Amino acid sequence: MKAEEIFKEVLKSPELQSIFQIATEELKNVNLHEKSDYPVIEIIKEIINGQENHKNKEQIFQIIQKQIMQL
Amino acid sequence: MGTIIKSVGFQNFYNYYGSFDENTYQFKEGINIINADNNMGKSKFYNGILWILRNRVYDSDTRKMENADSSYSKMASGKAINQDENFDMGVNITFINDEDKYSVSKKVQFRKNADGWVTNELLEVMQTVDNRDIPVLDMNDKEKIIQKIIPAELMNYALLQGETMEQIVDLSSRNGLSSTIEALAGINNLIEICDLSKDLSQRTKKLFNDKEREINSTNKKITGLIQERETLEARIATTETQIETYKTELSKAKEKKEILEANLMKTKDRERFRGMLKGFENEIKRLKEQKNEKEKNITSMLFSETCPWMLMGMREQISIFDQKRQELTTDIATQKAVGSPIVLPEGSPDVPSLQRMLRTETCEVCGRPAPKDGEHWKHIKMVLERPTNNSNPNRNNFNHFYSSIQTAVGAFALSIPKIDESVLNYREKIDELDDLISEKEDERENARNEFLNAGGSEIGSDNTDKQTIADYTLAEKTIDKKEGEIKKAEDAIKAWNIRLNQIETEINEIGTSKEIDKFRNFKETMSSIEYIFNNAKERIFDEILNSLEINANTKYQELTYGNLSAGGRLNFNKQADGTVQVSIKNVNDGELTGLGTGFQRMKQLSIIMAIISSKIGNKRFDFPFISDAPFSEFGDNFINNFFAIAPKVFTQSIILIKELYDPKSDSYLNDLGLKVLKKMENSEIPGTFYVNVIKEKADTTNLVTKNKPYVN
Repeated sequence: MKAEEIFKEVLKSPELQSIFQIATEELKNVNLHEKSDYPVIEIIKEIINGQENHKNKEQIFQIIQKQIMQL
Repeated sequence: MGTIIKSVGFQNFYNYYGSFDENTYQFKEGINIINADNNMGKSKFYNGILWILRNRVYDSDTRKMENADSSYSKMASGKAINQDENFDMGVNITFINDEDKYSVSKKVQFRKNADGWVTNELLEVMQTVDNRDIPVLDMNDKEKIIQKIIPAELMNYALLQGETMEQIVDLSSRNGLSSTIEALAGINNLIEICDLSKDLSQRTKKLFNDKEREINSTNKKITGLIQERETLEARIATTETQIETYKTELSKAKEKKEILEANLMKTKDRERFRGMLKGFENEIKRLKEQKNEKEKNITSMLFSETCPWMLMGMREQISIFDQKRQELTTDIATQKAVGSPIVLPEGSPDVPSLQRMLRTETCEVCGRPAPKDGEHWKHIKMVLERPTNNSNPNRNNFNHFYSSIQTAVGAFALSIPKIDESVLNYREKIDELDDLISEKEDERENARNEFLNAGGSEIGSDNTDKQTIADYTLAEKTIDKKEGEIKKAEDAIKAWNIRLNQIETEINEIGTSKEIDKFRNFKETMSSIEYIFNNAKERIFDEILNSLEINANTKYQELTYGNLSAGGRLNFNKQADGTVQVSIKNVNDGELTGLGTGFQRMKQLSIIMAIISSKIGNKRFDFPFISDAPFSEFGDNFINNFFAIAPKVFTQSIILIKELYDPKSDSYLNDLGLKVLKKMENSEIPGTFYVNVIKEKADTTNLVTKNKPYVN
């Protein structure tokens, strides 16, 4: 599966609504290449892209941590 | 995604002697049949494909897969080795993948020197771009292009050879059907993402713990709680790993149980009938011994003191004897018997008379002369000198003699009439035993037939069946044990999680900070993301599994169409450890047992067909199906069904088959072969039809095979 397909599949997860309170309508406007207002979406994108681009785990972790801590 | 093989060519490869031009098969979409008798190149053709794809060949001598590079001397044409000093051996496959055309050739150059043959391997890969053949030079690129013919994950299903079908669909390990589904779905990178998110989640947990401890380093109560939390989290991680192991063991036990279950009913039946057979054997033996004993006793019954069978039929004789005795008694009493000239009274003639007769040489009894020393004179002298019996003065009276006989026989007179009855009773008992023996022998025969019907063998499979039952019992026990262990471990994790929540509350009650909250939020977010990725993966996997199940069932129904017994429904069942098991269910959703090997093979083939021809989403995983399997063992019904549905299932298949061959026919085709050929000529079956022939008889190493294209 390509990164785009994986991302689409992940967006189907009901937990995004139940845990992170993201409305279905909002999810329809989300894509892999544009920045989202939802930190969790950004983390998901970072993980998918990180895997696709063969970034190492520590590098990905640092990027995500930075994102979270800036909130 | 999909591949169509356009041609397969050989050069001095086994019996394909000569150049590529002389030994090339052109293929199309549909069924491509290569009909050949034994030793006419079917397995050699298959080995050509294996050499290209796996760098291995099947050695029919050792009956094992061998590395190709250790088998070059066997792979080279015997005729080429005998006739040529330098020659090339090779296999070439041309194919189209996603509209790109490729050519892959593996070659070995054979050069003869003083020490023998020297070999040099070559791999040539070309890609056709704008009608120009561009050589591919990078080794990794070459390997990637070879993978396009049939990807490694699907190779097990796309290549069907000999007796290996049962091992093809491995349902018991992570490398089995579940990994194929993952490959079909292309979720290998999603699986990697799941692993990555798990790792990230663990890092956030550790980070949170470290931060919390750091911030609360002066609070002993909190550091104590943090320590306890870390201990519990470590325990949970270890226990979760342990649960994974239990689940794998549970899945293996379930798989084993399912395999055994299919045979268990028959095994139990065999054990039951085997027990019955033994019982009948013992019973028959006992009855025969009883009969033998009875028959032996007939001798003693002949001479029985009370009822001797020897006297059977003497009843009349006793009456006659008794009557004669009475008549005699009467005769004696009335002197009638004395009138007989030969019956003289006791002591008669007297001594003086006899002396006188000797002296006068005359017999005074009959009045005839008796000259001295003549026969009559000597007789008179003998009578004179006869001993006298004073004890029995009445020697001519036989009354006493016969009376004594009568007295002795009288005892039997009463029992003789019972002899017939005694014999009859005895005979009835023996007949009864015979009937019983016959009855038990019939029952034994029925039990034997049932035993044989249940797959029993005359050459006792006693131990195997006992072992099967023991293995089944063990598998059941293992399942119970593992389920118990899993439950216990899960309960423990539940309890630890409750405690973890309590710890969390206790820490919060003592005191927290915004900074800690941030790290807590980070940890919880990452934990949720890990969960989301896993769920997405499971969802996709389940969709593929369902799609495969539907697809495989369609194929299964089509392949088994026309059989008298219904073959049930294939049920794809995902196990706790992520493996997939396929069982066959009956109409009531119960386990369908007792299906013959044919149905089991059809089950495997249906799964293969479903996998090879999977269309998932907008993708089509479509690769050639290449078979060198003995079709004869499936029966004509299957062969017909297969040729009817294979073109619908596989975009392309290459079938190496001998079941259409008839060496005596001018066309080398039997009736079924002619029918298939006609259908291909009429375009009812799409594809090509080749027949391999041998021009000159030779031993296997010098054999030269040529192909005759009937439809191409």
